[in-house]
Amino acid sequence: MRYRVLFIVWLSCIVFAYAETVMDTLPDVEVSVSRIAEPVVRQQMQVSVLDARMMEAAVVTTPKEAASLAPNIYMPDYGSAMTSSIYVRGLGSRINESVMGVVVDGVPLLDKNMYDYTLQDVKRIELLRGPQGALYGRNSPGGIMEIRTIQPLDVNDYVVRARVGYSSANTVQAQASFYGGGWGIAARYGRTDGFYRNAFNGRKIDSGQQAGGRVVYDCRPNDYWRVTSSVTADWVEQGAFPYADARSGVIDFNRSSGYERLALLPSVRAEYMHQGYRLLLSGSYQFMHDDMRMDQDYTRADIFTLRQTQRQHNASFDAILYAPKPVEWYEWTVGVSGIIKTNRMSAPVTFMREGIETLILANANNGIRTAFPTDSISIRNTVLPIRSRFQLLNAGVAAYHQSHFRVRNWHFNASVRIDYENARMRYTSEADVDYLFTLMMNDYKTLHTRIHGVKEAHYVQVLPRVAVSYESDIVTVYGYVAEGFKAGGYNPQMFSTVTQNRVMTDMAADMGIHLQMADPRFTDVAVTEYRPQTDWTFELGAHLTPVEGLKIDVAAFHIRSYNQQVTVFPTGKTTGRMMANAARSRVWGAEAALHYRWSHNRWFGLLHAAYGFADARFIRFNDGIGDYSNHFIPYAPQHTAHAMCNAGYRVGHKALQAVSLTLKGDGIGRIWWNEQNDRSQPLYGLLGATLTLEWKYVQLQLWARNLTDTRYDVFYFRSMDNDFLQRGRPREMGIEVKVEF
Amino acid sequence: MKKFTFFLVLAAMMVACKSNDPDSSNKKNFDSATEFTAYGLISVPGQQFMKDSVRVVAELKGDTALDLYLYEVTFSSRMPVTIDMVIPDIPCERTTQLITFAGEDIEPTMGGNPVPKYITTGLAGIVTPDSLCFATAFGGMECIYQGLCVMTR
Repeated sequence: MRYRVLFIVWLSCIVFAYAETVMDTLPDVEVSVSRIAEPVVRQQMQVSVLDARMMEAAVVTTPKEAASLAPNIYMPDYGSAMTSSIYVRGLGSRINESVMGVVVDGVPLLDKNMYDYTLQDVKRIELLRGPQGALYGRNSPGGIMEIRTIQPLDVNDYVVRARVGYSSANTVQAQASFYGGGWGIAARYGRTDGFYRNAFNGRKIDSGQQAGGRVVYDCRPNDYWRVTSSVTADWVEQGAFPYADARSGVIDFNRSSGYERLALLPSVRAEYMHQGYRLLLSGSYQFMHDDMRMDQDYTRADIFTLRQTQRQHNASFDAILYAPKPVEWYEWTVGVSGIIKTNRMSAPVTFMREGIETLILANANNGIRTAFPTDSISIRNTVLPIRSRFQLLNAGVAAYHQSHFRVRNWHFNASVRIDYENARMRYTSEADVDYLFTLMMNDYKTLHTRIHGVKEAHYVQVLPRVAVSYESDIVTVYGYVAEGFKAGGYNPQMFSTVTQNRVMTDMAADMGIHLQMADPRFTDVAVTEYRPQTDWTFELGAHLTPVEGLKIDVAAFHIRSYNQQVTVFPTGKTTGRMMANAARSRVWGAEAALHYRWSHNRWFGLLHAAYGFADARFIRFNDGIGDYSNHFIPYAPQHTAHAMCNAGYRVGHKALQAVSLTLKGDGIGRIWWNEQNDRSQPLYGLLGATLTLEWKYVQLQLWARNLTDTRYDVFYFRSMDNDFLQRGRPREMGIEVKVEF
Repeated sequence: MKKFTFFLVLAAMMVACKSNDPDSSNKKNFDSATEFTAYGLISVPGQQFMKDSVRVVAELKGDTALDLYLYEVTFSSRMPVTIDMVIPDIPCERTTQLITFAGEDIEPTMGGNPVPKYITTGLAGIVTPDSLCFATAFGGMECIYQGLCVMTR
């Protein structure tokens, strides 16, 4: 392994002359598809802007990696590409709805299962922190990640780009794209052997491959309109859920676990500008089909498995009108938006023979035999599938208005959004059990249990935001109050537990006995519903630009959450996880960021640092088992820190045009793993480095992550009285060659 | 010795039940009633287990036999289910303001199914206007019930 690393480092390179890349020729536009028509340094919120050069120096290839460059945003990499849990300023949850929305070229991704993908031709990412509900609506109480990609009309003439990379675990990445004549075509492919080995069969558990691409047509039919239409495709197939036993640190389970996803996203965006009016229109259709398999006990015992498939047809529509100023001191914006999400989901949980014995029968029979020593319940099924199917629908419309007033150096901004959403779940969950209770039966009997019905809920949200700021030449000071919300809905993952309990109560009723063992909380379908979470944020902050090239951002905030959605596992030996509306919680926090670009003679460089602190606790949370008031909210880190220093020298010779070195470090933690706050991941640090050599058309990059091979955990949970965790990735090194002309 | 102690407890319990004789509307209806409902405590000495608020109904079949219905009974704290039991055709004697019943080797039913493994032995009990008490053993598991009669009809 060590010699392979050395080989990668000492690989020879090709000599060409240096030239500017397409990323350098792009105008330094600070606002494009963002809905907030203000320069970044004047924003009445915290915004982190990541440009292409910065992301290349930091080796950012996914939205998860991009999030690490901003304070108080944490997107842990665990589980699978389906797992996109985001924690922003102490808010977040592992499943269901997200606290941060992801918008790609003005089109919101409607399901967070699509958040984790390989980035290609990204020119800029903006990370807006704080509630964005007034302008972006649902699932943005923590903020918005706006991803902007190269568009054909951005380039002069044409550009061809290609890159090939090889890194640890036999990971290969290849991308190619062409932009010109109003068209853009891009394709990518990657594969990896994986990092985690399953002791059960000796194979790597997280190997996989991914591919994708897009076709874009960008045109200006006349002086007023710009129309961009695109089709994006993404496919991933991977082994998944490399969860190890917490005591031994060994991954050891017998059933295959994996994830496969196909996503298609055709969209149309149009921009109209005339006489001071600016109209942005966007519409998209989003198709996703995925298939997830999980050994749900994560042990080599054959207990139970889960297979979940989804087929989603989603659509979005947005229209935003920026009006010209009727008077010098006032301007306004209005908008309407709508979404439809449909999902056909199948999620059968299958109990194997050992699972039937240990999870279903063992406790029951131990109790029965205390009174009737020679009697027991037995189930004859070799496997017991609990078949669950769902048809989920979320549909919503919203309208919003923003007014902006200016009085000398003072700016006042008020916005309000009215959001209506309908959530509906049609469900069917059933099981067939061959059972015998020897106390009162002579032969096996087949029992068919079926839960079937429709649940529907309506939500109306009014989301206000009021902000004030003062601007001078070098500083903007602001304060705001805003409300955000995470959508409510239904939790299909709980159905296997509800159906299990219903099987037992049906069995008991069938025998003329009365069941005492079923957890009464989980016998009713109503337990699957979770209400919207609303958050109020109070923030004070400042943006400073004391000297050219230097930008400093600071902020302090307080968040109060109502009906906070928290992931909990049902108690005892039950399956699945559920979303619970914790009563109330609060966050006190602060963050700071520094960004400095410099150039002197042949030398150039970049310094970027970000730090975030969030003290997030439950004000009141009792789940019927424990009282966790004043406990830290799990899974959200208290501290996030990032520092990156890049320095380069323009050699200006045919043999080598430029060379630059980047050193970076990340710090994350403490992360509490449960509401009890008795397990945690302490603060840990990761070091990385990148060496870049540039010629006219070619760039060679050598990079390394987690240089010190720090051991840390990115995920922990408890299931069936066992503790599991996922370790963070070990040291990685890679080499990448990029060509652009 | 164990059986002697058991019958001593039963006798004491019967005395206590019979002595419990406050004014009650049940007294008026008792001599013509055929169904008696009680709520009380069931105890299983061998399991050191007790459960309160257990409903028992005694239903007369003529004047010489009765059926005893036990609803949602359990005999152990670890038992995950409660059972409806019937002890049928127990020989009984009826006098003024008192019914006594006793039986041996009676096959009960649970959930409507006969359970020969748990033959009832040493069953003895009384019904008064205000109480219903009995002691028995199910397949060797001794069981004592003391209930307050709340309804007669």
